[in-house]
Amino acid sequence: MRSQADKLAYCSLFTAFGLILSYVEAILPISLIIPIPGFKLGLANIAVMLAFFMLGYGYACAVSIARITLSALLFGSVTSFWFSLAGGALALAALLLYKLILSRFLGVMGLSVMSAAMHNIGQCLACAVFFGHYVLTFYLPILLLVSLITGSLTAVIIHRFLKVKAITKG
Amino acid sequence: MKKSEFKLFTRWDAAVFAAILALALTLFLLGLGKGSGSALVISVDGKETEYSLKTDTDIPIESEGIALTVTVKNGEVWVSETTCENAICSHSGKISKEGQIIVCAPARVSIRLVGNEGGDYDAVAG
Repeated sequence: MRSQADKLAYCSLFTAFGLILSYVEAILPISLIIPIPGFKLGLANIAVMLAFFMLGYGYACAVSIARITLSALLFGSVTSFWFSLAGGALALAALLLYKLILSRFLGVMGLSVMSAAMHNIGQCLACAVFFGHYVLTFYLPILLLVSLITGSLTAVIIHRFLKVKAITKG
Repeated sequence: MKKSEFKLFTRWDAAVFAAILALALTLFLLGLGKGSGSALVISVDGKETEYSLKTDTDIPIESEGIALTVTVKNGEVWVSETTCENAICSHSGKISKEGQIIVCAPARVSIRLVGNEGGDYDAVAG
């Protein structure tokens, strides 16, 4: 078992990692390739998941909320903050469900896809408050389909990380 | 750390995929039920103006230092030009169905479609 100081150091590391991933997503001209408003790769989810698997649920929450707040301050806006927060909260709810029940059944991919989907649902719900309920039927289906792909992609990356971690016994 | 946490894919994961697909499909089908719109309501900083969808036209709008052009053609509406940096409104694509909306938050502009039934105008004014 790692010491508290170790965990805190790792927690900060993952927050910084998540922030870098958010930044990469913010400057990546992904909307030129896939022109869906609100489309994101969800790379920052990697940091939250790693925190969850290596440190525990509480740390994952801390990383997620710190990441969302900091990235909104650095390269977002007030609106984007609320959207991210709504998405992040639902993704954390999915993570809690996984921790309590689903971890016996699901692999990393199931969890990753589930939280990607929940993130999109949260964002769309927040969006619906601002822009009307039509986003739920017009955008959410597309975003959900996309989340299957992006969720799988991040799952493979997380799985790689965890394997390396298992070998080095860090 | 439990061993199961390192599994990448289990057959239950396939169930998660199926559930998300089903949800996407359901929402999509719910959206198909909407009728096509008959009138266009543009709100600029709270002031609403109505336009017919039947006449093809370009509507220039200026608000909060942002200029945008709303194009109406063949019953479809979209923002064809904008000076806004985000350009979310012009990326929103074309709308043609009742209840659909395009929003440009920085310019305080919203463009929405209202339905076919008579009395729409009263409903909007009210």
